[in-house]
Amino acid sequence: MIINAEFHEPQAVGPAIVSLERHGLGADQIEVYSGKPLELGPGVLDRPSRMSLIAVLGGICSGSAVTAFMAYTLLDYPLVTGGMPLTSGWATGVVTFEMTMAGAILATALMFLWESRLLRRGGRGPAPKVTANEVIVQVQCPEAVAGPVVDCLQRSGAAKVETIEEDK
Amino acid sequence: MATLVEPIATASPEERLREDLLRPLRGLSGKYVLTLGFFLAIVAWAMFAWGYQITHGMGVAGIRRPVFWGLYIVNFVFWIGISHAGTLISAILRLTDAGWRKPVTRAAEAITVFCLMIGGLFPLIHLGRVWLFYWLIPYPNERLLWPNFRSPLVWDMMAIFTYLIGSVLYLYLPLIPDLALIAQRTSGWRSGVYRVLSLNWTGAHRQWQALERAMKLMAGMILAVAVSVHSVVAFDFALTIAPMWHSTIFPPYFVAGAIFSGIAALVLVMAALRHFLHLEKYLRPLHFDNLGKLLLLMSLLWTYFSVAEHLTTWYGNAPAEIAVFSAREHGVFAPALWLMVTCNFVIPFVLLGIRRLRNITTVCISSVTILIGMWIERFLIIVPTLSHTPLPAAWGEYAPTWVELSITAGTFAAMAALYLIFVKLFPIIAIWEYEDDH
Repeated sequence: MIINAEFHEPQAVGPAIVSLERHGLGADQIEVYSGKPLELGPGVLDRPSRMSLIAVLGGICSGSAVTAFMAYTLLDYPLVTGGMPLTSGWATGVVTFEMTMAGAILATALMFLWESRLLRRGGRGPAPKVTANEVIVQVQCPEAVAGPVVDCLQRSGAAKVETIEEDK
Repeated sequence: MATLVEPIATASPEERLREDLLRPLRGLSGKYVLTLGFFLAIVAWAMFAWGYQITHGMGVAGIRRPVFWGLYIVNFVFWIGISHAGTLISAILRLTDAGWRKPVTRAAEAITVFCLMIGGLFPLIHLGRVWLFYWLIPYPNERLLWPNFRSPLVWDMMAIFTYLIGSVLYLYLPLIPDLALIAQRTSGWRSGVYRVLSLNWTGAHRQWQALERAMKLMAGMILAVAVSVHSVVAFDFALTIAPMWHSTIFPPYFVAGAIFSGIAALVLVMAALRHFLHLEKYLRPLHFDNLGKLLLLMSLLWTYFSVAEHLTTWYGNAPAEIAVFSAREHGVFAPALWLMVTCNFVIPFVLLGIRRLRNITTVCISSVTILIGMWIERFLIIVPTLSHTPLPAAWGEYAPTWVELSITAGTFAAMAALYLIFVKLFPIIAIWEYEDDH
């Protein structure tokens, strides 16, 4: 069962979610749709993110791979230097830095796609169409608890609540 | 005329705001088509000139011994400098949470992407045998070329590649919610195209969270990349033992100059958008006033670096350096040098420094003079040094030919044409960011 509740007051959404969670609903069952970023208050639908970590790892991987590639290509070439070194940390540092940043940027973009679940909707119901001045709280729950959830949303200030059967 | 975004019956102030910001996407006026056609014709002429150079060889350009870097490298440094407008300014303002940035950022980020596309072409044009450009890429090969990662030209390629990737993503990510909005308001194949571009954005809370996190991270990274890019461009000169190039001050000097010319370009683009797209309500005098103050700050910083650079050369009195210095100060390049000082310091200092004089018109006038001044600065860095080699018997002159001038004009026209196309396809003010702020 999917329940869509339309709110016209964004401040009412945070308390509504807290109250839904008190009814035993998990963060994975609740989604909020809005036309602009919404501050729901501390701890409300606060999803942990590994974006920074992956960005750092992406940078390290890319930088290391490029540095290893440079060392390999420079040393693999039969250049006679009279004993002078073929590789140089200073002279290749710029390339290492640039490719480290490129790796970190690309890793961030990929993590954005992953964490935002763009391109993979999963089992969620159809996304509601949101107009500029409204916020929609979508709840996915068993039919047995639909009644109390609708009541909770209405008490929290939802202007309109509609229920959709999941198989439709 | 064709309608790109269908107007809808508006009710709330928020909906009216969205309507107003999507208005520039609607319809194609005759004036727009003519202007775009004019710029595209100049681009076509430049393409012809480039084709002529490819078929007849580099001899048709004015570059010859000892001046092997002419307008192409001047333009390369100039456009890469302007590219700092967007991402750098946008990233700094985003990280410092400057609320007034919101109507400005997308215009600035678009400048970055287009300037990098244009600036990145010049090394290819300068190569002559453009079909061998991939020889720049250092990889193990059978051509018996030693992959030289120590060359600043290879660093340039890597730096520009990274900056371009970062800038495109930095422009695209905050565009996604607006693309979804346009997809809702269009029909047919256009709606489908915008929906694909928006990656099926729904406005879910997790999407906003991910977008804000990604933009904050990207802003920090893009700042570091932007500074490194122009430092690397400065290394093209500073790592060469040539008079008035071999200087430790060059990287910060170039970065300061890049931000300086970038802000000037942004001001002009904003003024044009404000006037032609009637965005007076969004691009307000406050924005021009703030950017005018930034311009003044950068003008003073640029002047400080220039004086420091010239003073140390003059005081050092090394014969090879003094030859270039004299050619700039009171020789053949003196008119250009004093015009540069007037354009980059005197005019902005008076027009922007006196509060009563600072308004949209004077900020725009200063921006025009700054862009002229900064182009001359790039010319004065490159040509006098190459034409005054340490060996006086090898001194030479440089005069650009019609081919170089045509290609130069073509890049300015390309910038205008790309921008005209962009504003017709995408909202130039980030709608969701503007709504969020109001």
